[in-house]
Amino acid sequence: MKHVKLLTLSVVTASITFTACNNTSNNTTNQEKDTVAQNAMNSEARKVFYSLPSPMELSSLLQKSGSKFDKANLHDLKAVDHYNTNDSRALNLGVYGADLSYTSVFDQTQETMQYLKAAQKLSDALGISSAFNKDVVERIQTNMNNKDSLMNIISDSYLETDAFLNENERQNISALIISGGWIEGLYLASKMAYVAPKNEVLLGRIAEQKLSLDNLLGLLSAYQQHESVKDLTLKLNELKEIFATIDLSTGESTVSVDPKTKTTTIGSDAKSNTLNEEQLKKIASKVAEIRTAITK
Amino acid sequence: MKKLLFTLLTGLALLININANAQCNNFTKGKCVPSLKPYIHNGQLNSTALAPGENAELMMTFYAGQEYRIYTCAQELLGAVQYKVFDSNHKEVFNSESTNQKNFDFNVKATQQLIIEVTVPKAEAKTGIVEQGCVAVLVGFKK
Repeated sequence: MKHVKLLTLSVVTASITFTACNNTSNNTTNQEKDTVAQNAMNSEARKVFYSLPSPMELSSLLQKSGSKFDKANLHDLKAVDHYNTNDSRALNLGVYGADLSYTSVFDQTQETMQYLKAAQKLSDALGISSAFNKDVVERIQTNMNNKDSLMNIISDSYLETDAFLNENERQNISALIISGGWIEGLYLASKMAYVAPKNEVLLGRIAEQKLSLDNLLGLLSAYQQHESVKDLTLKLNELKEIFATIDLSTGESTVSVDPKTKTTTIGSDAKSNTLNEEQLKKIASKVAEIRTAITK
Repeated sequence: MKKLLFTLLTGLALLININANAQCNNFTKGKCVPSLKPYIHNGQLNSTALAPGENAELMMTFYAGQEYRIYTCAQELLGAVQYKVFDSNHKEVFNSESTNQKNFDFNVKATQQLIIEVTVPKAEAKTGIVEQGCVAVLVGFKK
């Protein structure tokens, strides 16, 4: 009951704030106007969620495509101490987090521990001590040979990060972490595709990122008042232009239910998605450019 | 004076909002996330406070070849929260009203964008105060 009252009070107070603003709009400073605009935007935005597959899921998709692990594609571990703003730390926590997911899915024990430590450093620097803490490190060490547990522990850390930032009204930082993770996932996939140009499954997975990019841009749209988000959005829109040349096949949305497993299948057989050499080249080049800007 | 009042109210709203977010997050982590198992959640805490009659949408890409679970969860005071799943053409592919299930286990033949719409049933306000509660929409996948 207490919870309900608090939530209700929150809305009532917010309403008073907005009303007060309307009555004094001629006298408010630009800064105040920006704050109110931001709050209004968050209020609107919180009813629509744009969700992205986790780096763990993307890594799992890459592994299922038959791609080979290549340590050389991972972000330089020595760079972890170079990031001294919260925005660069957030983006690179996303990058290292994706590398952590990638190494764990591909059973690279030593690298998993190294990337876990990098993620821990950036997480600490951002004040999110609950996400990749000592307990998480110990749990990962204990479960190193149990992939299901490992994936759950790492996913829990992402959840802790998101929860902490949400509670502290730092959703823009969370959006940057998610962005960094998605960009690193696409970068790794494009690198893998270069060495296996005939891997149609992998090419299809890259093409399908067109949909996730739309969701990522939707997520970032709520935080355009932050310069780094605005800057990243501009770069991602350039990537979107390249993805716009790809036609995705979705088929018809029929629904069937397996009576034994009760699992539903949505859609009928559709043509596999793919992309041509030119499209791959352009995507790989653009994502490498964005990644370089993030990790420099 | 107006500026001071504005600052105080904004600060109060922010503080209360932080507390409300924390409570909603704790509800989601404690009561909802465990029900996703054995599916692995995607690490994003899609939860918000909704009042009776309000709805929220979640947009996400689902990949062919993966097994998914969508799980919706709401505080009891909101009653039976319903959810529907639509494809990108807004054709309904699932409606919880007909199955009475909190979870929806599925796969897609072709990778596609789906929209999950959660609606809190309308209720008559007994005290004149609109009561809000926490609603979460979680997505998990199987390795």
